[in-house]
Amino acid sequence: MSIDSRTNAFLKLADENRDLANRLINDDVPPLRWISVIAFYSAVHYIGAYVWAHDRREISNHEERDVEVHRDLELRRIAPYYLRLFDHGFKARYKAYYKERPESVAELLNVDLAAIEKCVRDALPDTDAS
Amino acid sequence: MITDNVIGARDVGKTFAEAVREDPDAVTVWAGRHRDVFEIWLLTRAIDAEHERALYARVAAVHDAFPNALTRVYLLNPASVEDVDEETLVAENVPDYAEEIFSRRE
Repeated sequence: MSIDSRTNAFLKLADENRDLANRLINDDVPPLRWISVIAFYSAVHYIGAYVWAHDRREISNHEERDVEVHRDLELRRIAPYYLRLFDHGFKARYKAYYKERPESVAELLNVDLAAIEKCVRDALPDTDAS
Repeated sequence: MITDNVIGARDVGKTFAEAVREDPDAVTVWAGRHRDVFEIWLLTRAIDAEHERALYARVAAVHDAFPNALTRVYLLNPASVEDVDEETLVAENVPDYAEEIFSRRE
């Protein structure tokens, strides 16, 4: 069984955001705070892919996604990673004194976002990390 | 999704505070409600990423107690800011409508 086109569309957006964040961190392009934002939106789309693939629903806002992440037993495993990305992404957008360092941004990408991507891909049929 | 109208921000905040109270690096919890969303702020001592995740994991207690509650949780971690003292960090983040639920600040 293969996944449907809409799930693939979510994954495409998630991968694009992930790849952009990785490119920015590898190029050491300041300000690092925006990598947190991009990583968060990658997570949003991975979770969107999961929910669409399983329930044929789209989540319309961050709060409902937060509920979904805790309601679904599979997603609940990655809830702390998602909440961390949400919180860091929020501060990066709105708080000027918020400071991301190269190692902390790398952790958001390589640990938090990676955990979410793996959880989602493992729960979908016939997907390969791109 | 509809927020349960019989619960209040204090209930949500107390549930979260109970979940983090034993952590010595959890300093203060505030809770408030903005429209349909319950907001929680947790001031911590300077902690690392793994410790942050452990605290975000405690949010599950809120969802277990109030499955339909729309929530947002913000950690105020001094390790994530620069040139800001604790008092300013709190003032910049915690709004006037928030109520202090728990604190071990001196």
